[in-house]
Amino acid sequence: MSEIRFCDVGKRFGDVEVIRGLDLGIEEGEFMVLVGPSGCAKSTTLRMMAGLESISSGDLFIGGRRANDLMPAERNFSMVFQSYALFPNMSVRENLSFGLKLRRTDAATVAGEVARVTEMLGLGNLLDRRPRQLSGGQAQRVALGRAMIRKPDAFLFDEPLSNLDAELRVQMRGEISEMQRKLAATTVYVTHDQVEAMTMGDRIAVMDKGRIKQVGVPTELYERPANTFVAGFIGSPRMNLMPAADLLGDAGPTVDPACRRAGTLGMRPEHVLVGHEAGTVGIGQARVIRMENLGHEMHLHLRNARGRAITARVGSETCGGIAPGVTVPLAFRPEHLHAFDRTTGERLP
Amino acid sequence: MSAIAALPRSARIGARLSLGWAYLFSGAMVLFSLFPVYWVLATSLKSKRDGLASPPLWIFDPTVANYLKLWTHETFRHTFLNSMIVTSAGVSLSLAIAVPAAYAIVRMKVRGRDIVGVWLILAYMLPEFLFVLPMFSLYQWTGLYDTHAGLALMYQVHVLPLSIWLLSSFFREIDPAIDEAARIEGASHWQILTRIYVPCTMPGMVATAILNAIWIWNELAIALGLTFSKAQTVTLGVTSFRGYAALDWGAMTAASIIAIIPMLLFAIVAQRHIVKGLTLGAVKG
Repeated sequence: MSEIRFCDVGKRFGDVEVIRGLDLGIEEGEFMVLVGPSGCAKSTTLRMMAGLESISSGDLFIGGRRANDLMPAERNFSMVFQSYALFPNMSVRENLSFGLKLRRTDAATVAGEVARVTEMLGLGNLLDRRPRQLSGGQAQRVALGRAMIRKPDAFLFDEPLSNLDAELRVQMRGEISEMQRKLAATTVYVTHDQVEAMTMGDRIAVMDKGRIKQVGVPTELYERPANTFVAGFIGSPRMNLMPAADLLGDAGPTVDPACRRAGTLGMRPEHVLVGHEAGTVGIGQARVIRMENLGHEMHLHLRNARGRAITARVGSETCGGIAPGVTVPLAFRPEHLHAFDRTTGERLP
Repeated sequence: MSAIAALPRSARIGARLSLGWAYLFSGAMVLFSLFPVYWVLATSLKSKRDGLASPPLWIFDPTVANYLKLWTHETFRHTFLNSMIVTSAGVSLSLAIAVPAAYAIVRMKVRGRDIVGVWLILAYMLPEFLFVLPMFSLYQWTGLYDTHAGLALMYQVHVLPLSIWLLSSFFREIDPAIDEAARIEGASHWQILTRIYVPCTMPGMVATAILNAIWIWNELAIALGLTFSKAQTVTLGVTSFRGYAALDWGAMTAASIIAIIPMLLFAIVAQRHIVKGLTLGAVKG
């Protein structure tokens, strides 16, 4: 198993600098998720780990050894691609055993390993099929099997579930997490889906425009986002972020003066309370624009007196009498408020 | 036709008329392109007297005498065999060079890829005889003149650009992630090429080989310029029936038919591959 460390790494494509000053450490056996919007260079970061992209500046260490110039095969990593990248001219069995055969592993060992992985992933009846004869989920499992069979030092996943339907995605999410836990293998997983990131990663690195905005465990990212970018990116529906005066409205003096001085305030939709309760602070009236019923909960899209859009997440059973066009009082608990600097967007303590 | 039957009457008549025109036009085109072949075939089956008759005879007693004559014609047999050798060597050489070249152009970060692309188009467009003139003395000096190897090598000027260009387009259809997955698994570029790219694009390979073979087999200008007797090809063999003062039309047309047969068989057998190869990637699954 391997620890992976980026030290001040930069990446340029011609004149375009896509990654600058990247510092990131992935501990041995850890499940690290790189998450961010399209074009934030998370895949490029993963490809630099794999050796598929060169490193323009800085150093990459794998297991304490400088790895900038190592060939992909020398790193002993496995990678699962978004398109699965199965070899179309080979059967599932040949796909699984490809890497072992290249390493001149003896036939008996290859057969044993294929049987082990087949058993583990339930691929038994697919061994003689070609990739084009597999469904998306089956192809994904074969790709996973091909990655596992060599017992690599680390697994790299590049948006592996993007091509699957919602149900299968949830199932495969569970299977990948299970596999990682069983093998205790260092794993780096790239996704743009924050639900995948939150549910799978031991730690998450949130990236934007080639820079890491925050690294931490999922609850830390959710409960104490380091900046407005992370606050807005993690969580669905996204956090309500707006200038302090626009959010607080007439809450005035009951709020911590630090929050009042902050440039931007944030509040998670589940922390926007409809109606006043003891210990809460009122932030004025808001009109219901739209309601999304998810069965167990309701997403209310509101507009406050200052014209700002606010989203609230409430239990379906508490929505009696609420309908589009109705005006409702909003409130919050002070401990649920997130304050960010006006110019830098960084979290205020 | 069932689709036409479902239309209203006036539309049905219109649809049938346009279908009729399409058949008529296609039939005329087929006749137009096959008529010379028919004429050569008919002449090859006529006796000397019938062959020279004016106006031409449409009904005649067929004879295989011209074909039997070829059997004993030393020059024709020799040139036919030469063509087999030169075509095999030329096609093998072109694929041996074009396959790795196309892979390198498509998948490796090779400097000057764009210049190579321009060269490919340019070399393909230039008339082949242009290369014969400067090569004539060079070939004589190096001993390649009038040899199978010399001819197969010279043909690369034309077939190599076409092959690289075709194979590059086939290789581009393969998901680059497959290449990367294989590299991570530990495969070298050569292993990726031979174990994945070549098997995946086999119909394209066959189509390229057939197009090259047909071109080499039918080539005349280079063979005329760079051979004298030992390596003369079948296209020159056909012309050997033209004497100083007479033309043996029967034997010449029989030789033409015999010369067509190998490529015709080749194309029929491999037709499936040609169509599959040339439409490779045209429709994504």
